[in-house]
Amino acid sequence: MQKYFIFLFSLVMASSCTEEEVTTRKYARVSTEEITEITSSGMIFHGKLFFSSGDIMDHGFVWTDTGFPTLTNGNKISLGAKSDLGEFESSVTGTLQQGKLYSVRAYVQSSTYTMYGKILEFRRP
Amino acid sequence: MKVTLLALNIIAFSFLPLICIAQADFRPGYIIKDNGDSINGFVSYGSGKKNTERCFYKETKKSKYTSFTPEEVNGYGFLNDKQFESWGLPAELKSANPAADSKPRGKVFMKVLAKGPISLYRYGKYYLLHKNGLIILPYPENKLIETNQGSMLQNDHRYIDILNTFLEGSKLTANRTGYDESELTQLIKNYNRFKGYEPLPKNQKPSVKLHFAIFSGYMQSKMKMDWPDVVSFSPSSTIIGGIGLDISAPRTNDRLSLSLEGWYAKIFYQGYSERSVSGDLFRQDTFVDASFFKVPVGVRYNLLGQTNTPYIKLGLSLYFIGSPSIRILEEVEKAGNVIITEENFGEDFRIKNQRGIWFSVGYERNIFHNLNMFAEFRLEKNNGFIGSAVQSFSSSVDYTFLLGIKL
Repeated sequence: MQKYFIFLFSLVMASSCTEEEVTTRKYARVSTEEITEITSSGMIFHGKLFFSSGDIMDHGFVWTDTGFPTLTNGNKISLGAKSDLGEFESSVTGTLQQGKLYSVRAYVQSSTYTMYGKILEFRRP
Repeated sequence: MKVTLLALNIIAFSFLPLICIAQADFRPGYIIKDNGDSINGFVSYGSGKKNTERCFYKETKKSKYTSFTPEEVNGYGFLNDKQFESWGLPAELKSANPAADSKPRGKVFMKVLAKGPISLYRYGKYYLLHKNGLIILPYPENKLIETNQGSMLQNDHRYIDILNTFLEGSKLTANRTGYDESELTQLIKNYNRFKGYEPLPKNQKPSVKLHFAIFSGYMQSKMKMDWPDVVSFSPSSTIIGGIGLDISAPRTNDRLSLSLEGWYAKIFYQGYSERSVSGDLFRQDTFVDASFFKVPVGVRYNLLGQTNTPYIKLGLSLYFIGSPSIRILEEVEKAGNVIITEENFGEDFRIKNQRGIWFSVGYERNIFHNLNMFAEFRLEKNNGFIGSAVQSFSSSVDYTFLLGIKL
């Protein structure tokens, strides 16, 4: 009885590991990941391409101090074409004012669509 | 989805042989032969008409059964339980045709209700007394009669008159005794006691019996949410585990019991919805991760007996949700093919403890001494855990296959 209970408990716990399934779109999907190594001299932006429709011409990050960064209204780091899924990153140094609130998001461009990840806010210490 | 359906089919088919080998409920008992010898063994525990026509007996649990008619044996019975004797039907009953068919009957098995100076038997809806011979207590046929004062109900007291004749010489009277098994049995037992006959104390069935169970199962849950958008979630599949307690009162009814259970499970739902607002197309992926403890309370009915029996259950479930996590990933497709992603964590959602109603069918089989194994399929509909106490924004349907052991 005790053995059965331990087996049962292990089974329930093992089955509780769940994974999100990426749903497909006609465009690529990108997420902005947590900013790391924030120091007075700079920081590292992170992004993740988690679904691709195949023709990524450009990807990177855009940031601004006005709230909603886009390819046309803010600063941009372009990392060029991307052929595989997965994470990407880029470090930023020098151009940010100390104490000011900035918004950043990852982007991906295909021949038809421009996709932005969610906005993250940060301050340079 | 196909894999899930295949898994369900495999489970269902592996469960099928268990149901197929379901057999009659043979319980420890005895038959009384013509010469008065009783032979112990196992006797089929039927009910109603079946008990009066034939007795199915086998020497051991695993041996083949033999069928006996009332002409072939003097009676049969079950250990610490009911007993039947073989009697020739009185002429009135042959014509009364209690079994609702036209077969001519010689002897039948009658259920013994009291033994002593006066014995009481039951056959169908009729009761019979035996002192010097077997006499039927006429079934009361109350009539509506028309009088000057209007319609009146005329009660049929013939059985009371007969009983009072039998009770003469004692202080007992049948005037307030109904044509009912327990009332008639009590009256005749009291008379027999008055005559100095004390029936042998029977080792009675326990008044309350508890059975503990431990089980696990595979659950598939399909949730639907209709606010703020209509979201149909993919089915969530998970393994559940739980414990159970069945409380029965064998003296009153050994097939019916109250069932209490405690389950723990973790579920994960993922859903998709889209809507168009002012030319922008909103696409949402909703992720719900929750663990819950639930308490199903219900009534169980064994179709054959106490063990080796199919059964059905019906009841309600109370849920206790433990801090669900909700994440909504929203993509807005704007003019110029620009896609903007936003994310929130369901701050607008209210979480409540859902309630459900369920029905299940199962089969239980004895595997070793008092240890039983059971398999059960359960269908449950509940009012969802997203919503307020007065309004529900979600609902779900759960299909569960349970496998467990019971003591």
